[in-house]
Amino acid sequence: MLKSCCKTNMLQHWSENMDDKITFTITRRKLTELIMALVALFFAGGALASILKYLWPATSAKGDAAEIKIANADEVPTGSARKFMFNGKAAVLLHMPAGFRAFGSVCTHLGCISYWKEDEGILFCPCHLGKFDPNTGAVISGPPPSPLPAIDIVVKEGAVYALKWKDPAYVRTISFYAGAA
Amino acid sequence: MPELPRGDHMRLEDKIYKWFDDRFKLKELLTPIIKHPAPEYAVTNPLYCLGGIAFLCFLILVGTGVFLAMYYKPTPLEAYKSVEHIMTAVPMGSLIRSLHHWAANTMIAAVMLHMMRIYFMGAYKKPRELNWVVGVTLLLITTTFGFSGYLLPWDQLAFWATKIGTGIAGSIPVIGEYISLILVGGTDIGAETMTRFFAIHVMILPITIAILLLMHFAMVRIQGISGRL
Repeated sequence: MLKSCCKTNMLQHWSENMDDKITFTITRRKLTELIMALVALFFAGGALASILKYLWPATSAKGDAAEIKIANADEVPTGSARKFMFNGKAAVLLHMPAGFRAFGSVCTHLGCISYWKEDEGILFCPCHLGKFDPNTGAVISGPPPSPLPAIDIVVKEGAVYALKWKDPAYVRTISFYAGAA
Repeated sequence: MPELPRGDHMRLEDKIYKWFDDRFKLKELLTPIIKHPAPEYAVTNPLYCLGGIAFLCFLILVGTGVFLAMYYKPTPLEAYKSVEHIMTAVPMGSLIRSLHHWAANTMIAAVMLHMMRIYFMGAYKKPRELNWVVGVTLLLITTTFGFSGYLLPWDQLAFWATKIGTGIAGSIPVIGEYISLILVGGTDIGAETMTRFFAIHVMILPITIAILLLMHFAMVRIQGISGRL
């Protein structure tokens, strides 16, 4: 604990010579203890915040149908991709020759994030080499047990918007098993 | 020059400790409990840790279990949905449930290995026969914990495992039928079974295991741990 080590009693001081100086002695040990206490407090705060976060009631479940703008259409030329977040999960927008596609990019195997690999023309998960079809989200090869979840999108006024998961029940199921909550 | 703490120069934590010590004789009563030497052969041999590992798992299970109970709803309509909610929507919910899952599995393994160590080292012999009995009871309680917790997610796995488990209990001669009736709360697994298993899992078994653990530890402390054969 920090406790000022006043060399003398303050009141005494006052009455003796009107000198209202307060002296602190900070030793190296005290400073180290203080720093360690701050570190401990930091970790304890993190733990407490996690617990509160767990117990805090969900504010609303309306996130399922929130329309969000991903990007302007001209920012994502054909053959390129754009990462974005959808309902708190990693997602990817692809501009294929056939048009725009969007998928949740959390790999259905163990929850790593798959990304657009332009040279192979696939969605690729680096953890265990899972490969997904960029047009449908279907598994091409590797350990993923099921396809990436599609996101319904709309292109209007030169921008691409994400609307909702194509199959919310499926998204719940895969996040259950991939542990990517 | 470090000063010796005088009455008005004590650090705050020393003051707090002294306040309690003056009233509850902490030093006198706690010192023999906390500061007891363990024999060298037990401190250096990991085999002697198995019971402690099981107890650590138990503490983790209590903590995570309390947090799971905040969201879990023990009815056939809500059970699976609430578990799914914990796993997908609650921040860190999947972590809490995974911890519960793994600590449960680890605890059963640790208890089994602990029992084997006691058996092969002959640590159950006189004067520790009763502690062996309590320990075996603890093993049974632990497995019952696992079995009752298994039903709670209310998925296919849980349902059929419970079907088999209660079927095994029902196959005991003479009394089996009644045991099965009491466990299932009817003739078929349903809402009654759920609430019963939930009550068993979060009320009956925790109280029982706490009492037995206290007895177990008290006996270890009274009798000391056995030396090598």
